Amino acid sequence: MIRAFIFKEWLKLRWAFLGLSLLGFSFLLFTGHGLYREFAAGPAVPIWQNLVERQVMFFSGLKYFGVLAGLVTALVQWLPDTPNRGLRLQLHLPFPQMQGVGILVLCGALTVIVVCGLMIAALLLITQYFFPWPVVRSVGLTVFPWMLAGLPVYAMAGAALLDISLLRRVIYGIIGWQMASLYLAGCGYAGFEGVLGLYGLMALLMLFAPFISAERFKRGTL
Amino acid sequence: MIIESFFKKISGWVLCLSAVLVMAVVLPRMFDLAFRQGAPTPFILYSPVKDLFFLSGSTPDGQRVYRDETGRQYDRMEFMMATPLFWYRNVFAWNSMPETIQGVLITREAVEEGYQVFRYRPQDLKEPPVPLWPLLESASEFSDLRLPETMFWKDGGLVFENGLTRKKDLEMTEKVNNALSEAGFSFPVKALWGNSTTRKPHDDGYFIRDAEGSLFHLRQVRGEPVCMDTGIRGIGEIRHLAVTEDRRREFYGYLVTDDGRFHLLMQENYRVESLDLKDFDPETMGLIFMADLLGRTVVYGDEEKIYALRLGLDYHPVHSYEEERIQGLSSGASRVRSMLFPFVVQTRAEYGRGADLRLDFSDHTSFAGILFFLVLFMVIRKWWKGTFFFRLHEAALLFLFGIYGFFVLLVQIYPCFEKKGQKSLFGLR
Repeated sequence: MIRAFIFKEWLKLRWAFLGLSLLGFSFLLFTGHGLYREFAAGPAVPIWQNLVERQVMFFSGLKYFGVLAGLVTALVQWLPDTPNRGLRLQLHLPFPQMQGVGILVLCGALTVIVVCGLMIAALLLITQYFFPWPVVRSVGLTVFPWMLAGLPVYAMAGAALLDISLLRRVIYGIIGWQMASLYLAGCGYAGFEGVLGLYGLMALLMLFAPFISAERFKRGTL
Repeated sequence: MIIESFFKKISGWVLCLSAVLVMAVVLPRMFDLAFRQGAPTPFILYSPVKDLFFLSGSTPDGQRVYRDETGRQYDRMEFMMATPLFWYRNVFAWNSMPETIQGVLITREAVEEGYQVFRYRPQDLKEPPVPLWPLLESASEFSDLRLPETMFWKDGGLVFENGLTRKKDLEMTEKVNNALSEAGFSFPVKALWGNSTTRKPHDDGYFIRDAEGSLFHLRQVRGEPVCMDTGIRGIGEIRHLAVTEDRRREFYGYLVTDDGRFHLLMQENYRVESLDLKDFDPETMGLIFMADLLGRTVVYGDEEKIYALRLGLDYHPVHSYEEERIQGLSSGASRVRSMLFPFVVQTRAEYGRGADLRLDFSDHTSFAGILFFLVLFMVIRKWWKGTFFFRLHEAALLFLFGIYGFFVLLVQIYPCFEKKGQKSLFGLR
């Protein structure tokens, strides 16, 4: 049963995974090409110094990638099953209901984590080719909270899509938006160093948000 | 069944606590935005002509005001004429510079040579976000500073990487670390301070704290690394050091020690000149240091108070002034804020760069607010549901989170969620 659940989610999420990965890698290719041209034009030290002195973020286009990944994953995963209440069928299968929802949420969250993880890894690979280690470290610490923002967005978008009350959807939407804004606060390079663990824990806990909405969805009551 | 129930419960609490978190971030900010008052920090200068501090600032309605410490008001030109050593370009252009001030002959060259300003901000205490530096030439034969081919970072010792080969420069790394060792440096490098920009008149290198807390001075002189033990002892642990690199070359920069004191690191034998700054707190207060031909002015303060100190050329206090600032919330609004919000979630590091996630608790008046929302919730509950009956989680939410818990519960018991059976906004039952 668990395998069937995962396969069903994979069928839904594979295109989102592919699309997001292509989008991210296209952006990184563009960024990498820009860096290559810049470094080919002259010595590296003035570019390094410019980054240190002016805090230039050559990867700032990735800032909202995590949010986009969370939102797209939630829409692709939940939207096909909610308008005609298709998900209710799954919730009435002879399988513990909340554990079933847990598998669905885990599949969605893993999609966000893997896509964002790939982007971080690829960005760090490009960065370490052009820059010394302290820059690679700072870039990683800067981009990680941006990607973490994808998890609360995914969780609250999922809760909002599954819920059947308009007011609750609006409130969950506001909570998701505000939670994401905490991760995207303009704190400069490595601004979240020292509190990344707390923010990471908060993002993981947020993944429990859609369960109660799924329960309401099954019952079909307010 | 236990797991099912656990998932539902934890889901409800996650939604509830995330709503509390968002409210504890947003509502106090909105309150501050609505009720915060006050004018921007006044700019304070010492007038050697009148032996008074002069202030240039704005009223809360945005009107520019120039006054002295006694409260007497001036127009802009009078203000500049009273502080001619700061506004010397204008005052010389008006041909209004006095020939002598305090018996000292005033020439444009002398004024320009004596002029220096630097600023300290509490966020400077943090390490640079990208710890990578160039070792510039301190005895350059050229008028401008050029970036070298390598940049370095600290990793126990100093590690240099060549920008052309993109590989570690082992030769330079060894040369610099040998220079440090020969000067008596104890590895690993604990802290490193310097000004990496090339947009400065000259380079004074870097100051490095070793494992034993000693301070060393590293420079590149004609292509060779030169390191010296500054011999600075007994001033406490250095928390921050800034290299100012001014044409005056009176001092290398300033340093802040862990006891909160502010010192100048003089170029003469690395002598430390400790400034006696009353109530100075480097964690919360900004500071401006202004040197002129006749003395030094230090202005520092925070949102509540601003201090100004005039020092003679020998760094002994000559005149001082302090002023309370009407900034932030009025006392009434501040009390209401404490009552309304039992705590505020701070997501920005206080007085510094970067993010944070901490609770700032209000004072004891917040208990009055909690009590108020408790009673209000009971009244509303009686009105809507006909009972004062409290559930345990409702009491916990109200007692722990005050207004935030009240709003969470209000939307939970709102009639539209109470029409049919099992339902509530956050699912807490």
